[in-house]
Amino acid sequence: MDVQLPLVSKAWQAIKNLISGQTNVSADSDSVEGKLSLKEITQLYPRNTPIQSEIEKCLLYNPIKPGNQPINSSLDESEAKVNQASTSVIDGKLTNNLSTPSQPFSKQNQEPRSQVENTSSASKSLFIGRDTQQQKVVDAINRWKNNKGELTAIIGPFGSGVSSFLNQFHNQYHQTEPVTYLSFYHAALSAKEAIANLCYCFNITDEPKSITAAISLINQQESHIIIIDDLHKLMLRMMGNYQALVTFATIIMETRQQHCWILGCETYVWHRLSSQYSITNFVKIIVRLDYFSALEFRDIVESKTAQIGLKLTLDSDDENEKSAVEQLSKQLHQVSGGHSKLACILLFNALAEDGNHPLSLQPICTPDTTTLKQCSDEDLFSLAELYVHGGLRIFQHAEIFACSVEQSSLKLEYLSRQGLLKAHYSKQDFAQHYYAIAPSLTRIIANHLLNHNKLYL
Amino acid sequence: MEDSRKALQAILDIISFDKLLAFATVCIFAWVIMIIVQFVLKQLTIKLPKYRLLWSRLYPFARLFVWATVIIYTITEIIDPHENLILAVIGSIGIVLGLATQEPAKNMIAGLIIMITPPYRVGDMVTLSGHYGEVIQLDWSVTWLRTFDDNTVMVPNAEALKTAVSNANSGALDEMVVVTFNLPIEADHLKAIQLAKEATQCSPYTFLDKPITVNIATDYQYGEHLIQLTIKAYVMDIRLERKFASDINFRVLNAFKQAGFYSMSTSETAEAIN
Repeated sequence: MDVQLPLVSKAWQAIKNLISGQTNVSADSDSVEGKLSLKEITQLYPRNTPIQSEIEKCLLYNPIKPGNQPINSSLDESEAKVNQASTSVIDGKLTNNLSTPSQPFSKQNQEPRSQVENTSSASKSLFIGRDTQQQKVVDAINRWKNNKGELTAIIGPFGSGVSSFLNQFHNQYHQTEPVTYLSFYHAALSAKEAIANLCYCFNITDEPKSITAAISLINQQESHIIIIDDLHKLMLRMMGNYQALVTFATIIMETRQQHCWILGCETYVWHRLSSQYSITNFVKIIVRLDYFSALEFRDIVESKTAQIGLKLTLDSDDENEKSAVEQLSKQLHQVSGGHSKLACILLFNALAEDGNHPLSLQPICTPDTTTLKQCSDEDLFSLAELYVHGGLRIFQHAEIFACSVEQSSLKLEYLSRQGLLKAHYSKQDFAQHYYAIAPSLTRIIANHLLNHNKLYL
Repeated sequence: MEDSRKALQAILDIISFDKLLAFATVCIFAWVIMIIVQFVLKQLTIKLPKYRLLWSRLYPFARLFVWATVIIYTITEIIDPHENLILAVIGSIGIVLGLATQEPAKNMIAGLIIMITPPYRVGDMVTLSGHYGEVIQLDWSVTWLRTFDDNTVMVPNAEALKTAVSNANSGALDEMVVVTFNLPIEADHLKAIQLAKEATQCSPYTFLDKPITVNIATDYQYGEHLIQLTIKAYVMDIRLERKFASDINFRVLNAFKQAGFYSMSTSETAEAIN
């Protein structure tokens, strides 16, 4: 039955959708009015093509920071590299999170990671709404300096800014203390590999054979602050990983007085580690980050709109402008659930940038989750494993799901084409293609998986 | 004679067209409500499948409540009979129904007991009268099970109350699955336990919030002493029970074969034969 009158037609469509329990939009179709498909969101960030405009750089790639001064329009070269690396091939030497076989993690001894801007001011807070958490970590480091060192963990969902938060401590302390920042991307699958990984933190090339010798050797090294980001990447559902994790935990536990270990981990993975390895019994200081609250979000929106020079009202009345910003931030917070990256993408999408000034704002779209709703149970299991591992290669997915590499390849490519995953292709071997949940969709996908009993807290 | 006429007139008043129409309207209204409730619960199951057991459990209660309301409303508001008539009708119907429907009545009362103090609920994995499967529907008189062979089995509620009921998950989505392996007595049992535990942990269907335990025992079969390992782990969703058991078997067998546990047994058997 086709009804031609626009309003009646719309209502009829809504009733049909309600009855069928889904919208009639195919995965490739992008246009449901007021909605933005997950594929479009994934394509907007990070881009496969060069960044188009200053506004895009400012909204999507520049860090969120307090204050509303316009950001320097030139994008940091290193940031651009990182953004490009996320779509680059994974063979050869990489600057980002992807591996070369001989070096299972990225390491920074002096240079801070590019997603956080350089700052010489150690005391100045770079973040909105993270003061309590910052203080807790500073206290933990001070306790370690007073020879009362304990393991510290920073836990937060993907997109809540754990990496940026950890980087801040790297920046803050690297002039006064030896600081090492590590981000693992190869999970160890034996005790030997775990020992080798940890020895590499201290530039020990001739790694010892036993845990006891490793502990002794690491304890003899000069005191370090060691920040390990992406702890979730150490946990891999493959044979051998259990022993590697136990070895890893034993070594850092036994060397906590000599070295200050700060671990960054995703919330759901932390929960798994707690259930299976009782990690909460060993890590004394647990600092939790979450997505931004409505109040914090207002500061973010205020800062971002000021940076791009967006005026929400035509008159020059400050009160009206404030009220409009508040309304916009409420709307963005509601749609994104506090996930700042997603909110920035939605804001960017709503900007009518035609080269003319002032910028105008169209209605904010909401993410259209039809694609996610169409996923089968098996797809959801795959997404859940990709989520908790922070990304998987095809052969790893095949191993986890006990299926062939070809089947894994097809499944992951399908999910990638649906816009749920970001792919990094290997030129040499298709089994090495790497897939990870699109960074802007982490919250939406995690919520969906939680509701469908594929993730648990 | 006069009393009989009055009684007959009272009965004729009950089956007047107006009252029948009112009764039919109330029934249709109740039926529509039940359809709406069913639709809402179905939508909730689609939106929040994690709580699907809760949604499916609500339906029998809603149905009981709606139809009880219909009966009470019909008697008190539509029929509104004289109390003598009520007593007479109840007495007569009671005798007739009591004699004719002993078994169904027993099943319905059993169904009511099951709803109030449930030994199982919709969504549970149970063994009833020798059939193992998921409870898919709980009616007043019967319980419907779906077995792993995709058969639908109807079990009278009275039967369910009369015999022992084994419930595998008791209202939770996760459920314990037990898988047993036999190994040659010469196998390194410490390594076997470690491998079995880790292989189980590697399954994507394992519910990691609950512990994985591996118990060891010995057995004597076919003239050979054996090590018997029993893995107890929880599956994330009861519907994946068989798939999970198969997955554990696959992974643990792989691990044992790679560790050489079975080949050792084969070679030793060959030596014995030679």
